[in-house]
Amino acid sequence: MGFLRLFPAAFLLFFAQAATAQDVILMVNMNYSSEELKAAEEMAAARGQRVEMVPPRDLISTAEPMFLKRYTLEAELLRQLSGGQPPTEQMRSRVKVAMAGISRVGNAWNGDPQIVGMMGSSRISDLHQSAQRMYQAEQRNGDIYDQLKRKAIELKGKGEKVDSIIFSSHADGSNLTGETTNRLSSNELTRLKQEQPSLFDSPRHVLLLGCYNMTKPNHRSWRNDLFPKASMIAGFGIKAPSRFDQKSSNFIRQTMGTADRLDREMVLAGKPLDPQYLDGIFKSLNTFTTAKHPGVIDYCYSVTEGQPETFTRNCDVQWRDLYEKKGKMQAYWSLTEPREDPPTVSGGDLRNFYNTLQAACPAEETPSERNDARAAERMRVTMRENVIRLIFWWNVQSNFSTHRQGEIEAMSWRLRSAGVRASIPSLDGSTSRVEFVKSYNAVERELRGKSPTLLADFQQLYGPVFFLRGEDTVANGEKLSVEQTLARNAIPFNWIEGSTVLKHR
Amino acid sequence: MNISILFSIVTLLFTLHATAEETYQVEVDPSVYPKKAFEQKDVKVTNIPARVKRPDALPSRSERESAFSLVPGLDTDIANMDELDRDLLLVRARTKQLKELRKFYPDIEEKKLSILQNVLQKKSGKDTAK
Repeated sequence: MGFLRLFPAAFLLFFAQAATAQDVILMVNMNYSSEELKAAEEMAAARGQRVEMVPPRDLISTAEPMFLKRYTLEAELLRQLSGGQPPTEQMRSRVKVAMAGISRVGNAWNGDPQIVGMMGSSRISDLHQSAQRMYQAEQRNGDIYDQLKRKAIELKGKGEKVDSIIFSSHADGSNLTGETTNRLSSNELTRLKQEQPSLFDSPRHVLLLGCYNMTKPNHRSWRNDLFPKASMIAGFGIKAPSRFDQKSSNFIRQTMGTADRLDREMVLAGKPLDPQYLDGIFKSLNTFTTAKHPGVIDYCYSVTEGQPETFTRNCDVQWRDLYEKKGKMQAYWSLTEPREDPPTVSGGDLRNFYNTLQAACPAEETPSERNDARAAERMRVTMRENVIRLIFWWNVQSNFSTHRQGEIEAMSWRLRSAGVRASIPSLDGSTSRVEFVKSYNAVERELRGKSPTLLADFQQLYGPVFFLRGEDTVANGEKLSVEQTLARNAIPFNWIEGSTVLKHR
Repeated sequence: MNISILFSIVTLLFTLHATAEETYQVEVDPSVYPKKAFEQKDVKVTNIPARVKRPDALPSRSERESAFSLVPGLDTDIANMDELDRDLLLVRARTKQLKELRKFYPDIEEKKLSILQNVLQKKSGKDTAK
């Protein structure tokens, strides 16, 4: 058993946040293991996520038959060379060299006449052709570094987050290799982290299925340099099981499933879990206890392992992230120049932002916010109220226009009579937020200085859907009616539900 | 002094008194200042009513999770819900009838939803805003 360390509760709460529907498990499946992919897909399905694979998963159907062909030949050659006795390391290495040469140049390879003779020209040619098909496909895709970079950009573009990442490959601890041309060096990983930090900052769970990844100092490097925010890094100390060994795919199921459960337990407990309890849990997993491939897990990083002040820094990071995202949300909620409409189904970026708002550390536990924690918390509350109404903009507008139908018609007539050229769209449940805000501003501009009374009535009527405010508190005993809520330029919360208002007042 | 001058003086005094009453109405936050400290002649002192969270206000994360943790078995039902969905569940449980709540969450046992509503009912009233 490797490292089981604890961390302050609030930090864990951040990591233990429930995964969202847009989250993905990214599998860097450098040896095209269908068994491991299947295990990852099972985990993703249980979490309501999906698996993204690099390289593309359609190559599995080309790769696995080729590997099968190669392993069958290897076994046969070893049997023949050793005369039925256990093959020596020298024999194994001789066969591997031959396989590599034949895969590369086919019948043109003549590095070991005995093996060439044993195989025969047609089998050499067959293996060579399979290997070449694979090689050409991999060349078309570019190297793993480029593919990961593209994938990160693609996911970011869709507003999707990598919730967990699995590296399946051969490894020397820090450099990853596949049995074909797939390579991902330690330097490339570092470069990727700088260029695409989201790939490394968002995963809660990191699985390293290659050999030596969890030996020191490799473990420290994966943890400190690459994935300082993950709540779990799991892999193997020295020798990792083969991808054909059930242990490998069960390792994915057991570690991810257990970490999910512990993350939830920790959230519910609101404090770190007992170290002995954690130790017992991971020891009870049968993929951890084998003598041949003992698992190493690092569930929650300890400050004693070389990262002082991680907790405080991470609260700051969370709030910085919150402010950065808030800036990006301007495209949705700007009251002067909105550019994007709220997504119609999932909430997309807005949902992610809402989750960030809700999951960030308490302001009073965050060094950068501590001086004015109350103001920071007020801002958080206000933004959450505002964002949730924006996410459900399509329902809100529909409920509003049903409730205010009479006044809307009257206002429309008054605006026309006053010679106002701009008009407000119908807000029938399908009107773009961008269009509405622009129209509101246009009407307001025309009315300003022209008709103060009409301007005030216009603002009174449309203000609530323009500002989309919520009201977090009321005086004790006070029960605001819908009218009173609207009079305060706020939107009743239940208007986020579809068809709440069935007839106008 | 004739009667009209006397009437004017009485009216003026009454007006001043009324003005004083309107001018010196003080509302204090009892958690900050004691009401007594402001009590004087002609000064009407009242406490600012405490602010409480509306039932449909979005919960804080800790308040929400602590309510969920009191409902046995709910954690598995909501394991895949994100922050937004969890908040919505809590607000709906606070504001909707059980029958309606069931329609929103057909996969969660009615018993669990009912326990959640009871838990929230017990907690309500303790949510005085800071």
